[in-house]
Amino acid sequence: MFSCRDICDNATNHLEGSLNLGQRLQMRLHLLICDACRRFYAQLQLTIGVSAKLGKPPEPSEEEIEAVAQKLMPKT
Amino acid sequence: MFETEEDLIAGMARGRDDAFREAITRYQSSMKYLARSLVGDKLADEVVQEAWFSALKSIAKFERRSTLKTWLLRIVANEGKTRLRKENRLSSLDAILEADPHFTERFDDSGHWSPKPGQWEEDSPDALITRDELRQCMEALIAVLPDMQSATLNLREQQGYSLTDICNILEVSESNVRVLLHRARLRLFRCIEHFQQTGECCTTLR
Repeated sequence: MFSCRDICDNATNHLEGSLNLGQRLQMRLHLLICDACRRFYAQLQLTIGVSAKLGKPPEPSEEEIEAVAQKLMPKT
Repeated sequence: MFETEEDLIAGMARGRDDAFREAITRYQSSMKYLARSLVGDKLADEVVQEAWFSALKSIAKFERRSTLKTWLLRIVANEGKTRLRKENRLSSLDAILEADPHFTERFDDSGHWSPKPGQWEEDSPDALITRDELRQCMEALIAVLPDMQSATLNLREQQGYSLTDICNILEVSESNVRVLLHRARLRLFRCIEHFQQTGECCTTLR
């Protein structure tokens, strides 16, 4: 039987689809009966959602592209 | 001009100026984003420039086992790690993989939460990040995460790469990628939790 600690340790494995069938069942069963772990699991997903929203790759400016290209292939 | 990736790779392999310019336009932003998470703002431009030099040298030998973008990101990761190693700043993977002491103490002997996670006021990512202090706090925290944790978080959460691609880019095993990702997620979870409890930033927490 998974303990709360196991739920915490395996939350990412579960979210990333890396648990086997037996582990997945244990995970679901525990989440079904344990409020604290259900809350943690939801909060971890919120955390992931926040990270995803925190940054986006900066669009390089024309000047930046030009500068990189110039250094890479100096005009002959 | 370069309709398919194959055209672009072929152009680059022939050393064509316009092909590289096109590749830079397409991939510079993603490469720099990864470099920043690995080596920090100050060195990111240099590391990416080095990566382009390496790409120019080795594109003819590119075996197409991954997409061009993944291949370029792998070069960035390599350049970044080399740079950190030279400056003795590359954190040891073993140390990063160690369990977060907070989470080992967060459970009693029978493995139950102690204390249990408390309720959060906001229940969506959007609601959470509208609070400027929390947003700034998390950005500050991400900036000080250990290099490989930060890079893993960047590639998975922010750039949306699969675990398999991340293994390939960072050259670590998939199980280690999962641990790196989990550690980073737990660290950010604690930060939000702390903020919910105290209204203060977690950067003073270990």
